[in-house]
Amino acid sequence: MNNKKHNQRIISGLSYVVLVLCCLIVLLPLSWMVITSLKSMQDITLSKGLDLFPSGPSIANFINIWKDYPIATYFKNSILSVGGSTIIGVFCASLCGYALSRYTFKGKEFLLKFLLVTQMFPAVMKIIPYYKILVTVHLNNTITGLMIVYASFTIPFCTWMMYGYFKSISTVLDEAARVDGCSAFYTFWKIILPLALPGLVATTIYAFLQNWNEYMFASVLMSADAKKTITYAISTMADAYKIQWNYLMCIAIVSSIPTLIVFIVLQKHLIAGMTAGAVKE
Amino acid sequence: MNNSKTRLSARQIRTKMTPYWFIAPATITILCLVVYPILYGIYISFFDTNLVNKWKFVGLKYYLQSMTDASFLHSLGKTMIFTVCVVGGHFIIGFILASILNGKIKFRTIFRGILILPWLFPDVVIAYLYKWILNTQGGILNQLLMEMHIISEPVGWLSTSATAFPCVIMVSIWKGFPLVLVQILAGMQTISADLYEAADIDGATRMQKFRYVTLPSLKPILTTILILDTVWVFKQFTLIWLMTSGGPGSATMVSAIEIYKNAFSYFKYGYASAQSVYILLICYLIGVVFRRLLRDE
Amino acid sequence: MKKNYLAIMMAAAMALSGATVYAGAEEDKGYNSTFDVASAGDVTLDVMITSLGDSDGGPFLRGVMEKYQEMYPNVTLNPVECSMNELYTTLITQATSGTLPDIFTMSEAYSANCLEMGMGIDNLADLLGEDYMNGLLDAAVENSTVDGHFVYMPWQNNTTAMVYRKDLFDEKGLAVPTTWDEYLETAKALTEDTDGDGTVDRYGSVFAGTRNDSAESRFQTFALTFGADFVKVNEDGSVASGFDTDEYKNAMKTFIDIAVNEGVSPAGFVETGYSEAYTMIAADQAAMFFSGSNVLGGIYNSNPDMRGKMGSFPMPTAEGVDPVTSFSSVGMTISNSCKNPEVAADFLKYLTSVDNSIEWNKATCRLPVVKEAIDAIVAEDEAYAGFAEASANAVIYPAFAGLAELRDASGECWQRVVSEGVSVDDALADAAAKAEEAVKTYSN
Repeated sequence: MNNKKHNQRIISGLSYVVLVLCCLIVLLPLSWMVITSLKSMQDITLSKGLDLFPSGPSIANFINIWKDYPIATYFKNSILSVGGSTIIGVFCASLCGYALSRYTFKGKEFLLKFLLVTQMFPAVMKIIPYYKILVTVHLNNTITGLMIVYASFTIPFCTWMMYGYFKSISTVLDEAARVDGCSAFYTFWKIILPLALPGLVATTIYAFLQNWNEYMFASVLMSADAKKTITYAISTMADAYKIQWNYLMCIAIVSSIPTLIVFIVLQKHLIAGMTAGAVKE
Repeated sequence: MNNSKTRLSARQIRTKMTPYWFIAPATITILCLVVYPILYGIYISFFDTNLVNKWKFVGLKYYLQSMTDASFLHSLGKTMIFTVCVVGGHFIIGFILASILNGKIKFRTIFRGILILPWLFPDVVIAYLYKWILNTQGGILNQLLMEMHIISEPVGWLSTSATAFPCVIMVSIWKGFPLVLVQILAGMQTISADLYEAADIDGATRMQKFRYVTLPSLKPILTTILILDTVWVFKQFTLIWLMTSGGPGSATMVSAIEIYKNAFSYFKYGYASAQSVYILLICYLIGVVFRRLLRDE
Repeated sequence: MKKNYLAIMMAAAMALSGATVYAGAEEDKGYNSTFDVASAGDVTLDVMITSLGDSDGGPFLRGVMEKYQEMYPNVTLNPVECSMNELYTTLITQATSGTLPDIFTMSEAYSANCLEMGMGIDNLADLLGEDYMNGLLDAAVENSTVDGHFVYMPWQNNTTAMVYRKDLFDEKGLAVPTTWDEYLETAKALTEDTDGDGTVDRYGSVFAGTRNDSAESRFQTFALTFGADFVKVNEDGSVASGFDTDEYKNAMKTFIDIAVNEGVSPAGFVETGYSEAYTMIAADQAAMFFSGSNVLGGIYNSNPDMRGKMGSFPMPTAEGVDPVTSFSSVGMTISNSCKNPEVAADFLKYLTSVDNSIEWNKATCRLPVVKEAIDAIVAEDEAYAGFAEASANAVIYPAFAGLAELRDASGECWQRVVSEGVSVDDALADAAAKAEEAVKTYSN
């Protein structure tokens, strides 16, 4: 018994070591990003030898990017298109994943496989046909258009994820609900979906991040200046002719704030303390 | 009697239709938006085309040509190695960290918050960040190592073929492990506690609980993430393109870059499409193999 | 919003200066206008020029557009940003759906495809007018012409020349090198340990060696100064690769020697791109670099103290090769779906007027292709003299669709030598085989 406790302590000690080490590996490069964002371009290009810290750390870069670029418009476009697509995508995917996990029906295997196949074609070859579709329905250069495109990007993966999470939830509750006369949608919406909350949150975070950081489609499908997204701003700071390291890192930090907020708001639901109890009864 | 029988069948019909209502929104979106692009891609792989007014049917020419194209085959080899290393890295790190974070850990929120950070930044930013950290001239890594007298001359991390590929792999692992971590963690959280309680009653050890409870419950999620992560890494483009553009030489020339160059630098859309179809087929085969291996017993 | 405000201010200032210079001149608008825009009715044009997103060229362009709209209130110009990296992807995509903007950026890299896909109008030269066309550099017109069609209006003069630290040359009494041997000697003289800590702080030369089109096309110019052409066009019109010639091999060997073996260039050659290279010049870590004139803008931006210290001279050549350099140009064209091509052409002419070109040069350090404007700029700032001198001997490459692939083979060649330790001869043989293959695919 004592031995077991001893082991336990070693394991938990080791756990902390691993965690701290991994956190350092994550934080060191990112801290370099923050330091750079506070430097002036002269600091960056003219430094000789080891110059860890900016000569006069300043938030001037942060102010300048707001002045020089219509960041607010970019943010608005990004938030509308990505937010909308996340809601649409995750909702459709949850419905679909639930059906796949609970019912057997004709074409189920095919659908599952097909969803995977959609992920396998290299993305660069899909830009042109996507644009053609949007032009046909007059949705090019509109937030709605980009929203729908983004939703279609995330649905396959999210469906598979939700399918996996639903499968790991026992079907006992479904049967109980059906016996009680609940409709299929009610069972899904009120009983099973709350149980899959951690999975749902993980999937939502994925969908949001994936599209928030998407660049190529956003820049080609949304050519009008007023419709550009935040990733476009990032790309203008670095192209073949010059890289403005300080601005680039600034905008990277600014653009990740919404994702950080989404993550902070949702992350407590990643822990399933309360739902685990419900299954027990 | 008769009455109850008809009622039953009506209900049966209704339940038969139910799954189709559920899958309709997703399926319709996919059919409208995803099927056409892929079919279009396959279609142009049979043509020598500029996509506007030149459509010269060439049949399977590009498919045959790809099979003997040394640089395409080389890129496929590179992609395989890249994929195995990166996906392996994602899963090993993701699994270890998820297991730790799933236990009783102080400051769990903080740890989890930090570990998730690489995921929050776009590939574009991460690529440039590392390109700069690893820069031969004035890159912070070289400066630090020289200051500590570990190296005497700056090392060309991204410009030497011996180091460029490992560096690109490391960065890809660094960028991608949080996704796997979060998904596994979420999966672990959906495993109901009574399974563990039952195992406790049976006197199972930590390892046994992992082997007989955690792993089987995670299997559906794991299979999904494994397949999709593999597919994504297989098609990884932005990170490598911005860090090395496939160089030095062709040390980091993966298929996605090869295809992009063919399509948008050399304007050989048909050829690039044929290669894309090969990628599609290879990914499909990988998916089939994984599903066979991980099929529910 | 602030951007617009700035633009209006600039526009107003420029309108003022324009008015004073041209008061009493026979052309009262200050540019070669041949179309009565004012009575063309309401016109709206989408203008997609890659420089719109630049921090230096962007405000200039917006200013010009504002000013044009003030001059002709019936015209509305919509600026559309697009980064150079995504230009072709965007153009191809839009062309397949027939939604191209009225005016868009075009360059020699894509001009053949532009013509083949029928993206632009076919009477661009007529719209610009004979007078205007005669005022352009011959190389520029030739450069924009594919199979006898004038595909796009050249704008940026990317003549390649060497930029150098004039102050250091003066200080050390160095003469401008005309051959690569002299260049190497000069570079050695400039390479020094300025603070006496035992490591070299300033190198004489820096070459770009990344495997992307920017560095690779630089090498193509370098090869030209050895008398090596990437492709040889035979009399019967057939094309052959020039990779197996002694000139090409010499060029490659010298290139690698200067960049890596002679100790006159900083470490990290194969990851030194254009921006890394000029940053080193700006940071006093290197003294010579060959490029287009806009490199001066990059240098001044990174380090304003370099203003006044820089100069330029025409590319050195190998022994026995006459002075030569490459010319290329990025410009604009008018789409075939544009409803008012006359107005679009008029705006383009206005954009490239002498006054506007001078303003543009001040903002971006780029040189125009309008002869009159080049002279005006060189008279004002002698740092551009070398570029102007080089323009006289500038040639353009034969139009060949497989050029990008040949360039890439060159990039692969030196990268393998430098980073994989492959012998130069082996790498050259492989590159020659690859070039042969590429030429074959494109010829039929």
